[in-house]
Amino acid sequence: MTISDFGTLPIEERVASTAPASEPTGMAGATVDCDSQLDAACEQACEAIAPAWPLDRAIAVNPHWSRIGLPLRQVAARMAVLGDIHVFPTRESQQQAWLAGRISPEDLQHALAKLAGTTAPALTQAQCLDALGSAPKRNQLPLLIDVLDDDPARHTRLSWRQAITHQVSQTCAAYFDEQQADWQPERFGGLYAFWRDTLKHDHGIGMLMGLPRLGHVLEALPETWQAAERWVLHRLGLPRAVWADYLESVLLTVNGWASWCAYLGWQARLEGRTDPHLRELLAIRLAWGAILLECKGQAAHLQAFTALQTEWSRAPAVLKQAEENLLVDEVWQCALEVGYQRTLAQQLTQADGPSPVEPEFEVQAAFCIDVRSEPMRRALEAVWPAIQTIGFAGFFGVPAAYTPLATQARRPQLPGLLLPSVEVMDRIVLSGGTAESTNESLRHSASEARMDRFGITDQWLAASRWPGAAFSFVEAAGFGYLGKLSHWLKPGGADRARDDLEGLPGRYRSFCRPQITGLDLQAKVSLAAGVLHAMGLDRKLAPLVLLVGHGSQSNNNAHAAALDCGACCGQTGEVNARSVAQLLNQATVREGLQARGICVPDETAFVAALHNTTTDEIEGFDLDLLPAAARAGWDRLQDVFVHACDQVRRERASKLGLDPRTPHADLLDQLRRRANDGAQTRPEWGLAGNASFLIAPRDRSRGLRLDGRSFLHDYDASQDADGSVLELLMTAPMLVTHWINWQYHASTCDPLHLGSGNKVLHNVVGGHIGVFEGNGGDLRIGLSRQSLHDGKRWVHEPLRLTVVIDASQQAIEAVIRKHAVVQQLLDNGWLYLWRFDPAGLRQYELGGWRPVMSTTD
Amino acid sequence: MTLLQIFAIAGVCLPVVLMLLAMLPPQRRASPKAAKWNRFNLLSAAALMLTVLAVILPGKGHILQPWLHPTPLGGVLALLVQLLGTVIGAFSSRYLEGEHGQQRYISALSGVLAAVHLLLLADHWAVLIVAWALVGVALQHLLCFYPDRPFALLAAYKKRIADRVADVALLGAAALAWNAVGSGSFSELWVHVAREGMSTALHASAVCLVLAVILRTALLPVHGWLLQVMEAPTPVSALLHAGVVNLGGFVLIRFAPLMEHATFARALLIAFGLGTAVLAGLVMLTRISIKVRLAWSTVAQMGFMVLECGLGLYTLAALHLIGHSLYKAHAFLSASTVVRETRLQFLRGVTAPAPFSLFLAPVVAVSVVWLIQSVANPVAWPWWWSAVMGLAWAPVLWLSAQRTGLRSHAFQGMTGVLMIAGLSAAALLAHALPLGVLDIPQHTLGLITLLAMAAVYLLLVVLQLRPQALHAWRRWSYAGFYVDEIYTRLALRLWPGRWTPDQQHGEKRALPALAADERP
Repeated sequence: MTISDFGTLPIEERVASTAPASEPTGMAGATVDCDSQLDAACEQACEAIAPAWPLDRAIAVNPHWSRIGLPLRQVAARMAVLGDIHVFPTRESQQQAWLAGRISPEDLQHALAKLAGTTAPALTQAQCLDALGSAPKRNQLPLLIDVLDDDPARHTRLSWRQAITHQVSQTCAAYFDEQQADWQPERFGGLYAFWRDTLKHDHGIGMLMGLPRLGHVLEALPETWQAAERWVLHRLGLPRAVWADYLESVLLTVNGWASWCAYLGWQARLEGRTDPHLRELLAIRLAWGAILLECKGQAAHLQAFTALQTEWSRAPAVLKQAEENLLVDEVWQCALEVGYQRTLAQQLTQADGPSPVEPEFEVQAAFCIDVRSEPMRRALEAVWPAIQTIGFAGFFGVPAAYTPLATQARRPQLPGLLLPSVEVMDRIVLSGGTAESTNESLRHSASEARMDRFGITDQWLAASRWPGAAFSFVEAAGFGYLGKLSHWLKPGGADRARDDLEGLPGRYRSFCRPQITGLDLQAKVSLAAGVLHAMGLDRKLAPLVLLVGHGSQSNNNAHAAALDCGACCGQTGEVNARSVAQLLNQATVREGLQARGICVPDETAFVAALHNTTTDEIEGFDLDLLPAAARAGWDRLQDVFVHACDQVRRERASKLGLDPRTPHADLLDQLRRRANDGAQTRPEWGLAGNASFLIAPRDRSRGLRLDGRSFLHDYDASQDADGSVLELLMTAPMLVTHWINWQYHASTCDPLHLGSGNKVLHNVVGGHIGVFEGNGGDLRIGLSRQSLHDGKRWVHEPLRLTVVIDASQQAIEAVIRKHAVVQQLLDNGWLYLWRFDPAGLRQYELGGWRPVMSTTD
Repeated sequence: MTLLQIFAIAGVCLPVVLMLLAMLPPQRRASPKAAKWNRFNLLSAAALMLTVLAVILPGKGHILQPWLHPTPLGGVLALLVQLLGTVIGAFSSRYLEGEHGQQRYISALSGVLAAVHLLLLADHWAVLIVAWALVGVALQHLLCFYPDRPFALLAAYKKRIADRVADVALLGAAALAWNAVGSGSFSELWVHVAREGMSTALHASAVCLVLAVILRTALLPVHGWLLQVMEAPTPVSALLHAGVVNLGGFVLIRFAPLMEHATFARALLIAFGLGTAVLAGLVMLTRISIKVRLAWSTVAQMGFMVLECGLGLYTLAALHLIGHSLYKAHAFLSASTVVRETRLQFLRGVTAPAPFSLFLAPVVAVSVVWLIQSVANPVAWPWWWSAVMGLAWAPVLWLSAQRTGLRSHAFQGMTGVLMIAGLSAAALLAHALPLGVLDIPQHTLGLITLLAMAAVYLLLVVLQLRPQALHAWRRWSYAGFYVDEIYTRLALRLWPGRWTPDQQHGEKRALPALAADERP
């Protein structure tokens, strides 16, 4: 798959096929085969769960991704009723914003006017202000386990809901963990069978839950998950119209593990497989209800059924009511956005615009679209106007999987939406041009040496891994930990750790380079041409072209990958930048490009670099392979980097609680120590604050101080006659930025259900699967509190993304029409879309365009 | 009083005073968080320096008797705990940035350190009992740092029950010994035992003491609370596992003169120690989250330390106490590094051991340990202990089944032998430290221990070769052998606890009747 295949996204069909969940089945239900209807309901509930990537590949995901087919407020109502989940910002935080003047009366008025035409009864400003004082009404519908949990002593123990979540969570952890436990269970027959087996052999749980009959009841537990689904749903006797809703509500009690299973399903779908784990999890959770029912005896049955059926037959009304109640929250959400958008619109209309004479640039630097690139690009351009900066997805268009030297640890280095199709491997290439055979034999000896060292590490770890070994180990080697403990006192200022080179002897390290392999020349040239075209670098190349990936630096941070490049699947952009730069520097590839009409001047050299987003330093790679002139050009740049990076650090300093007036070297030292500090829960703010995405030439934003809140992707409509690049941008980077934006939004608005909680309590599960907060409970997904909150206030403002595109109305509308996903995101209020029009900015609204910031005209 | 004496007394007493000082909230309540922490860090560093004085000037503080008596080991441990306190304080000052209740945390941390210091100096039953109780009281505030978390409260409650029972046991031990000796002073107790031997009362006193140690050291079956304190911030776990839970080991070493002839008490130690070490070690292998794995590892390690005390290998027990503290404090503080370590493990790949090496490894390992010991210091520990060590480190000699071939296996074998030799030498070197502890090895019990450790090794071999054969065992291991469930149920039935945590909604809640290490 190349970059141009971005359009063929697997989610496309998925979202389109997700029918509105509460659609009534009506009388036709009687004739439809019950089992297939049941199957469809289960499938629909499972489809509603968005995936959560593991910690070592953490990328941001909109947790409501599978629900974007519904209007935002309807989703908010469903989440409140089915899972007690908040989608809009809390009223408390909105009240603070109001009192602090962040939301002005005009903002509120504007928002009210904007939402006036909606279905719910109109609100007044006074009503909105009144609502801030009260929490929104909780109207969660009960599940079977809730109505059964009615004995008088229930307040003296954990609720069954909590206890069941805990049991299911522990079982999932045992089943999915492959890294943490040294003594692994047998996993025959899948997750459901594993759970059933575990429960049947559990001699403690009945006693603990106060269910003496449990052992007896478990005999009735069906053998397969399919049978379990039928067993429970048929007994419940709920109206079929609410099956899917009920099931989604059931899944939301174990949303963390459901999201993990959804991730497995996502990966399977990319590879053309199916994965039953989520359905099995649903069956497990359902079966628990039936088990409790059996334990309670006949009398309780009828009572529970009646209660449940009464409650759930009201479901449509409850949902409707909830939706109405949430109108005020939507108004406030909108009001919060208006203030930001007003400033943004003003800024964008004041930008310099294109300069009359096209300047000659000495250096071009392509950065990732990440919001952290914006201050860096601005600083570089300010320090040295002869540099042109470009925004592009940080995987540089190479859908790569990378395998470090002498390992089997292949990992994706591309957005989570895609399946890798290019293999990148490490090769040893000496500085001077040496023969291929020399490099090959070096690679062999480097691999041998590395495997020997890996072996030594494994042997050493065996001395403390097993029970007997660890006992005597601490007596002999315990004193050695004195040195390690002293590191906690004051962190050092070491460089970023190069984990991919771990175990490789020093003499090979600087010559070990990731390269694209397995492609013939034609394929390489096609890849190179595609990358250059997409970056707009297929003409007018400067002598030095930098490909700047980014990566963070932190220590003792379970969520470190969440700070790295999302477009590289939670890795740093190093591998992609280096492999692309080497590809583009190859003489044979350049000849091939020439044949296709893309001229890369001989004096042009591509250099891979990495922007360390924690310390704001820029590091170059493979500089020893550069021709002398390019090397000299790079050296000249260093001074520019020093000044620009310093400027960015000063800009960031106050948010990190540092003094921006600190001398250059001290500030860098403080940030480096922070990056190495294992006790630091906030090494950097990541993408907190993100609020807008510009798809436009740099002229539209050059010189604007966007405060690191904007994703910037370069796009020149004049070079995109057929609109294919625009289509790509609106279906790939726009979705990725939307995912990031909504992950931050969701984790801020409901830290309990959609955030991972308090970092100081985090307890990593399965080595990389996710975290528990404390002892157990559900697997926690999303961002931690410390990633969003500085202890006094929320650093991230939950704003929906404002996408601003510089393209014609026709071109944009063509993409919207063609892609249901884009249409849904826009029509259902998941993001804003603006476009530059000669007459000013225009906002897309339900198929039409109206001037930005004007209300109902 | 000489100047040296004054220094020595200052070194002994001032750290306690400084830590008590650190407990007090600063005068200006509005002082910034950083200032509060700076104050603690300063006081803690000063206490650390003074403790160094106490260690390098031993035996000068005898005027403090009969209440306090700084022993060389007590001094070293005081240094160790103060060092851990300083590191954990420095860590927490950055880690807890933005959390509420940091002053409460500082006070409780200082309180724990002061109380531990006092305990390490105790030369009198009264001081020991009070100090140990105070450790628990101060610790409660750390365990309940987040008072709205039910499992935190449950763990603290279970700890409180264990502590109170331990207090009763300790009071019993004190009463019996005091009555027999006519004084509460430990020094006089040693003199009495040396002169008149053990009486029934003293045997009973020793048993009471052992019970108190078992309760406070979180051995099976009262280990549950230790596993559930993941509900408190990470550095609290580090402090607890490294500087508090192991105090029982110090007390046992301190009471060596009494325990030497207390056969029944020692048998109890071996039974609980060995049982805990083996069972908890097996449970540890099944754990799926890093902190709970570390906690079970501590339980097993405490069992091992108590076992060494029971065997009379006091020097090794002391080394274990120190080494484990340093190791576990670091392991907890760096718990989140496990994600990075997993990535590195992915790079290294998974290697299964070659079957023949599983059987060859213990033979070679035991020979290496034995050889090093007989060259360096044949009397450091009994021969059976060398065998225990060899069995322990045998996994280092498991050769890879993937990387075969003579060169590869020779390389791995050589590396393994060098590692074991190095570890043995390090153990011997550490053993030679002047901790002022005298070993009284018990050979029969030693052989039983050796057999048990051999059985554990065999189990590991089966685990490597035919894990499916141990399927049912794993279930029991994963369930923690249901010990904590039974204990929790029983404890809550005997002492039904009701309390009202500071819940935001003011809703009253009682104890969750569930044990939750990793299970509902």
